[in-house]
Amino acid sequence: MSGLLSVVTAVVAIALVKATPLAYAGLGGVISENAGVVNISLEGMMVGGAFTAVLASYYTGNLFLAVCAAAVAGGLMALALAYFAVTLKADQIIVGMALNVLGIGGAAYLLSAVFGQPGASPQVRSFGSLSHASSGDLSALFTNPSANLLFWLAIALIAAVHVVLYRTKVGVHLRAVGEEPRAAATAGIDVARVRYAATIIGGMLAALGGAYLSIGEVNLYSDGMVQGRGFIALAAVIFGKWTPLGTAGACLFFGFFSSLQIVLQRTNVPAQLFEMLPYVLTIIAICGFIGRSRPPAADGIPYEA
Amino acid sequence: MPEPIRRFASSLVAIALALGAAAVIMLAFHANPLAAYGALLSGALGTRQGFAETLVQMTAFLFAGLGVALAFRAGLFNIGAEGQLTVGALATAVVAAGLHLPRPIELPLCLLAGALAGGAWAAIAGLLRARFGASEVITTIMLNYIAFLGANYLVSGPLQGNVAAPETALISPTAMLAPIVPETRLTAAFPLAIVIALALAWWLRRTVAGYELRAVGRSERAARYAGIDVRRTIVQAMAMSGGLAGLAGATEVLGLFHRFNVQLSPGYGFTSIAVALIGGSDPLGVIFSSFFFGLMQNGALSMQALAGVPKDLVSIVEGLVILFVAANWLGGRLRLRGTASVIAPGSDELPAQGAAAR
Amino acid sequence: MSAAGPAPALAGHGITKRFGPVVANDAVDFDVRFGEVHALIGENGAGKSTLMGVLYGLLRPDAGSIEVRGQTVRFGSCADAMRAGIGMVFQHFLLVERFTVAQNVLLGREPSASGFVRDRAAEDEVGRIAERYRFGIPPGARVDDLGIGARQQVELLKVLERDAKIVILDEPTAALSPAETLALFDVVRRLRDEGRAIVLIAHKLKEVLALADRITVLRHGRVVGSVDRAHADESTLATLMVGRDVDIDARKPRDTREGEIALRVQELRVARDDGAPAVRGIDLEAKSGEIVGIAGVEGNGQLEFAEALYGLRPIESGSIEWAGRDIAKLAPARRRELGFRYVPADRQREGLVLDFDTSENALLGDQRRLARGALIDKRRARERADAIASEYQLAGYAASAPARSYSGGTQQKLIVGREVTPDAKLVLAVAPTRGVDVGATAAIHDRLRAVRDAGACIILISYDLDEIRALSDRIVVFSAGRVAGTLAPQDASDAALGRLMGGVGAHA
Repeated sequence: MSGLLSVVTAVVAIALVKATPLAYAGLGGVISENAGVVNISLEGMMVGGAFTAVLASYYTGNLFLAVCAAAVAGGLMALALAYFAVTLKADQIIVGMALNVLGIGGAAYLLSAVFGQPGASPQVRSFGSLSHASSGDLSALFTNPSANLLFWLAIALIAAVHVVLYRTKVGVHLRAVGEEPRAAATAGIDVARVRYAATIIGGMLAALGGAYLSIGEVNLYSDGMVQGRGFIALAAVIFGKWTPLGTAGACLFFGFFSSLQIVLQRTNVPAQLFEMLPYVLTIIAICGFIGRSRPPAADGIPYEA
Repeated sequence: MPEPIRRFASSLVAIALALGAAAVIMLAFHANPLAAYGALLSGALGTRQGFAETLVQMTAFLFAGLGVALAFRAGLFNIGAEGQLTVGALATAVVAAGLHLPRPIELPLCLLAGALAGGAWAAIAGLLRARFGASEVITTIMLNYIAFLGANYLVSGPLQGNVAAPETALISPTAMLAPIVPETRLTAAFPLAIVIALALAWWLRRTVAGYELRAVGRSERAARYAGIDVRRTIVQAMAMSGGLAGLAGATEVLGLFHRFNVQLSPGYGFTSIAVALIGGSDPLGVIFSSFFFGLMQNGALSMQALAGVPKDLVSIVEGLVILFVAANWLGGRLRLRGTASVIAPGSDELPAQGAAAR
Repeated sequence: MSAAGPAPALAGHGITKRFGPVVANDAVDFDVRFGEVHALIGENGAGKSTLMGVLYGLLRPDAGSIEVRGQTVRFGSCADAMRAGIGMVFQHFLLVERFTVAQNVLLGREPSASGFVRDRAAEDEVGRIAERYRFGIPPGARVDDLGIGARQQVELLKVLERDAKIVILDEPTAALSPAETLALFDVVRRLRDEGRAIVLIAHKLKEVLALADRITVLRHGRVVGSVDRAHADESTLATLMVGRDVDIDARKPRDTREGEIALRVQELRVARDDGAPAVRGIDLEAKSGEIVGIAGVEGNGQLEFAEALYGLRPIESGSIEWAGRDIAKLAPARRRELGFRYVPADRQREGLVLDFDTSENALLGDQRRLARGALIDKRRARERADAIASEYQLAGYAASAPARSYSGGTQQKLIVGREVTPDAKLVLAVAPTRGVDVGATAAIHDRLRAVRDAGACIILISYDLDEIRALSDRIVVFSAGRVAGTLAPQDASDAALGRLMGGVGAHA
């Protein structure tokens, strides 16, 4: 019996750990898409954040600064997205693809240029003990909260984004811009400014998700460590119907599949089948089979003032 | 200025700006941009070996780029070229390892297998778009990952043909494409790609199906009024697009690796989106842009070896080029999606884009 | 500024607005006083929406001035107009569907406490105003749960909540049921009695006469008449409203006879894109060798009717028979094979692929029929384009020029030349000579007659009464999605048609 309990808590612990970076990026996506800006480059921003966090930790040894630096990196990338998408009214998908390439390529380039070694950075100061939780120790999340800061920050942010989006003036205006920018404009809301702000905040959050991977879960940056999580986060946003709670739930759901795959490694079920589930489920969702999964009405459409 | 000239100029400007920006980055890291670009060019074009390898890289970009370009012409975003390429390569590897027929039959069959597999994979996204209106951007991205994971599973399991590594068995000798230039990796895949590009250009301009595809891409509404079956056109376009990406994978297997493993593609499918964009979504333009990217990809290694600049700089250049092309600073029509406007829609007193008014 | 009486609430003097070569408003004078309902009527394209756009700050006039309460003002945006006390209810609502009524009404000015919205306070406030005007909508209801009439009430609430003293209503009854229309009338009267200035943009004459104190008629961007209610009646207004676009040739006698009934439509019901009924049970028969002219003010179901006949719009109920065969399920391509041709309403978005060159556009719709196997027959396409160019004198014609480069009139001629071919069996033509010059109009009309004489059945939808009279063998008038009446061309005076079109006839 206690064997089963320990398996269950292990699964939960790992699921939470796996879900957290997705949740950061997913929240970022939720914010920008609710304002009407599609962000395909969550992946690139996660990579940017992951690398920048390690870089900052390497040079300053200060975790707080490292986290801030990651957020700034994500914010800058998102600024580029906002400029091209909102001001130049370029196609948001194409710009997003470009930023993905830039993020991944940029990190790889800097890895070689700064650290002189391709593939992985040297080890740096990190939050570290998330590795306890990621090896199945659920209580580690509670007994050592400061070391698991990034996890609890994510929880707080999920709640905060939900409250802001649905209960405050700022949130209402943001959602109006994403649904019906013309109505928002005639109501006196500055559509461009809202979209810029939402996109940048979204990028900062996505970068934090990357920072979680590099200095939260482990203590270095390695090529390919983000491994498509940015796209899973995108899937979570769709699956979660563009709401913060729904997205967080979807991330947790996807996290469970990751977790099960690790814990059940000894069984004959192939790992890849578990890993496929998020993508298959998203396709099903986007076809309308899981209720109406409708994005904000003006999502992805440049606004011509 | 006329549209094709404008697009060509736009691409050139984008490339120049990107190279310039990358030069600035290099300077920031105390590298010499001139030396770097020089090493890149000499590696990619300077020797017979180098030039041949540039064309080898170009071949994969050309096939996949044609696929993405074709989808763009139909008004569709095929982000799934990488997954379609993977599926096509895997199918080809399996068929080529399993069949041992005389070369004139084996080779076309293996290529066909790759094209059909890639085409079917893309057609899934096409069907979902036509039937449910599901965005092909999302579905093709998702299908990419499903393809990678599925291939990963298959080559470590049921399709593993080599006990030492997760890859398929070696393909039959009659399926192998031999080098057409000695001591290089350049095979008949390259001229095949060129021929297909020309054929595609011809197909788009001269056949009824090509006409209908272009009409749907330019004005779905007018296409409906013209009696064109828009849904079928969408599925067809995606299938063809995936088929071309599948051919990219097929020729990689038959000409270079002779088996399938997951390291086969250094992201050809993703880069091919840039190839298509910079080529103005036109098959002839894609020939040029795929050459540029082949040059970059091949030259990057020399740039790293000779000038000490990390080869990933090339990815940065690529990303910047896409960004600058998307910015469309020279104006013209790049937009694939519609735009909203403040004045109520349907008010026919305000003319649509363009000078033509009632 | 007038010396006699108080200054009007809102006035535009000499307003001129151009969009490229098109003069949408030509030196228009318009004003509205407090405590008055002033209706602005005219056909689509007459310039009503443009004028309102100028007065509401959405557009900047090329010439002329605007005054609010006698003071000259300049509007940089509609925010300025709103600050001046003007509120506008657009024909196409600007509502956030997922938000509640209260959220929409108070968007941008939500009652809040330290950043948090106070939903209850918002709903109470909106509820109070709604009750004052007897709107039955719950302020907490989501807009996408509401019907059109209720949504319009939300738009009105937006305006009333800001206490706009000058209210502009753009085609407010366009999508309302008769009961909702009456409710709206009560509200409008109430607002007027409260002393507000109301501008009513409309084209349903019966309603205008029921509500307005003053009526101004706009045509081709100019004011063609302005009367007090006491001096207005349907016939005068109808005559002022519908105009002569072009000098139409007189009726020509025909020496061919019409044939058998080819098209039979029964009890047809068709919905608009938003689900509202557009065609409400129409019966129509047309013979081969006959031109049936459908007259009516734009927006009374003619377009949806034509689209349903062509197969672009599904039908809710009823039947469409062609040569005795039920074709309701056939796709447009199949109907084209039967000989159906269509000159669409929107030449740029429906009739042409603007980025294709002229010869490719000459092939549009017939690319399969005129193909050489699987290949486009470029030679035939080119020949066709050349033929159309010479017959209709296309200005600036070049076979390789993109369709985008031509003027609107030339584009229209290209489309008509392509669609109205000798082998056509059924031609659906929507406003085929809109924006076309005299000479080409005559050529188009001759072609339509020739095709009719060859045995084709032609359904002509037009907003130009002279064209209807000149071409039709029989005239059917649409009003509010129904057949308001049928007239022979010799009986179809402007007044008679105007009465039926204005919904004042037998079936109003």
